[in-house]
Amino acid sequence: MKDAKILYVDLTNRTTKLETLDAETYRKYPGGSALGMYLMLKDMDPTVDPLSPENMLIFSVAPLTGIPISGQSRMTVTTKSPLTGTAGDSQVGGFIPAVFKANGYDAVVFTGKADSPVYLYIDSDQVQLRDASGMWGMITGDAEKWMAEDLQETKLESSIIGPAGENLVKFASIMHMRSRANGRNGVGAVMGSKNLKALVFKKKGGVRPEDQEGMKTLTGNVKERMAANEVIVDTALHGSAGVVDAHGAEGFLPAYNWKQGNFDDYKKTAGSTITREILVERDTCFACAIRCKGVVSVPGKADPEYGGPEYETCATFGSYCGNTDLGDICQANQLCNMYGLDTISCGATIAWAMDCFEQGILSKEQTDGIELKFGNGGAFEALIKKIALREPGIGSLLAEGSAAAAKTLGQEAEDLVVASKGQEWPAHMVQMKPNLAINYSANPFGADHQSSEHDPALMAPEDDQNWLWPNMLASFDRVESYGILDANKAKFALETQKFYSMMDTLCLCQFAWGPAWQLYGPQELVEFCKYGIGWDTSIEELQEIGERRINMMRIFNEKAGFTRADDKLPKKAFIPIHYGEGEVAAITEEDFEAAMDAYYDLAGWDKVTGAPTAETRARLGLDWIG
Amino acid sequence: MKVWLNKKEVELPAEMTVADLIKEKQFKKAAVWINGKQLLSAEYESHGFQEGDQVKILRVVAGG
Repeated sequence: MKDAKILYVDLTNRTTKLETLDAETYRKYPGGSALGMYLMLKDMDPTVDPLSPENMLIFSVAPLTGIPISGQSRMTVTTKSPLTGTAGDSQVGGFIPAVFKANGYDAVVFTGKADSPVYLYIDSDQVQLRDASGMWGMITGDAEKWMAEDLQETKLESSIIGPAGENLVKFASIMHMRSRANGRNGVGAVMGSKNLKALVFKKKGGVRPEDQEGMKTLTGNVKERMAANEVIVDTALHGSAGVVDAHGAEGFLPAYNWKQGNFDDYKKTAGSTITREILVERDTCFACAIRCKGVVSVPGKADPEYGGPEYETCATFGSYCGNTDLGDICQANQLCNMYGLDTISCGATIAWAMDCFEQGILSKEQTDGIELKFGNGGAFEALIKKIALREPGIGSLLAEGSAAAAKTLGQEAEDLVVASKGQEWPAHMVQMKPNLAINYSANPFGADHQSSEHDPALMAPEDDQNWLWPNMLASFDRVESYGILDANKAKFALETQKFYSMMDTLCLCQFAWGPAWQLYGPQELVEFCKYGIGWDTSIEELQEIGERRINMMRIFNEKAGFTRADDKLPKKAFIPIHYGEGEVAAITEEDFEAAMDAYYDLAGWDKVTGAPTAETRARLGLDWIG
Repeated sequence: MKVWLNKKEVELPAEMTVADLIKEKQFKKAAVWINGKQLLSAEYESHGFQEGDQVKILRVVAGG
């Protein structure tokens, strides 16, 4: 492990400073949001307003980033989230992470607020804060072109906010390549609050592994490895959108704002339909063999420049809204990518608004005359623009996110919100995957489907990696049906959460790396650390790194005023879901509370406050936090 | 032959294997029980069905 190079950018005073974090400390907080949280807990008051100059905005990669192997080119943004009020976290893929590392940095930390729009340009040790007022207000694709002209340079990789971030929309994203997003938690709004339009690097490469021959044991057989994994084969063919096919067929595709899991016309918005009818090509991230990204073309609605919809987007603008028009979904995806909006929170917030309209809680006057009924995908274009520009009326209301918007409308509206800690739920139903009831509610930065594994893995055959790999982390009991929420699931929730937390520390893509269905598993990760950077680690050390990150976030949240009471589920989590031939899957409040008790016990957290105990803090070396 | 697939009676060709059925139904990753006993994935290619079998197939679906 080498020392970490951290660039501090004081936007108020327009100064920059390079600092080093020693290797011994970096080994405990090796990148991503573990490093981000370490820096925030050291230097920031957790009670600050997330949109104030006192918030920190940290971009970080990891020691493994940039080494040529599938799934290592990821970059994390850590901040205090304006959507949830908690520690905030979001990842992006593409090419900027590898280029970030190749330029010689491990993190860039923004503090303060510029007095006029700026962007940061980095070319190795040349660091420039440049005037961005000429592109303030531009959509992401136009801003990219503007910067290329401003810098007289086309070999650039950038992270940019669109108008939504500039207008402090609570679920604004930071976009890369017009199709990759640091999507969740409103990180784009934090960037906008600092008058920071973009972070830009000069393109370069050259990150090399410590042991080239050793790395070949992981990369040399990647084609065979992919061909032997049915889920990766499907992902390479249909991208994440293939999950619409699976959830739709099984009866667990969230529909009509989470009223049910059955969506009759799901095939119209399925991954296989996208592949057959509108796919132009498959795209990928730096050095990744999987090529999971879909690029689509829908004349008049979606241009290949803006990529294509992932599973979540197909669901949030599809079944969540009762919409079966694939063109409308792709258009919504494009608009979110142009204006810089999280497609999960945006689609889910619109779906909530549709539910309110259908139930007479929102009137046509309040929706600016839009007939906001389920199925009206034609409304997306106008609504997304109103939200991104925070237009007075429905745009400004929905720009707050469904939870905050609901508070202004009353209890009936609040009962229709499907969110945890104010962040809208991704499209995986807790009745099918009960561990997510724990992970959505307890996750420090709100509901997130990529902060743990999903428990259908516990149904996999005993000779299948989906069963074998999670059991490298801890011993689990086998499961034979949906809807079971118990101590076994609590253990699965926690142990896989630690693994995913470690992956968000080491900035690894969770399609390529993971503890169940992915291309590379826990043992291969230990080998990657050894061959990649000469780090002699173990699954135990890696799990502890993940656990440390989670606990830092819980401590931050405790200081920000959060308790166990905030680890709760929305009412719709307890709706029984009918699937198959007369089958029902459901979780109960009693089972949830009992599972949460088990989860807190395993995690070493106080069952009343939800905060890590003194013993847990000491075990993880976190007693330096006051 | 007739079997019960996820509680619905269906007609299957006599020579059909579990792997064939999974492919036909477009299950990517499946967990299979026949008469209450779960199969190993290594058995899918060779394991067939008998008249009246109670078959349960659930999709093992993860993230995205």
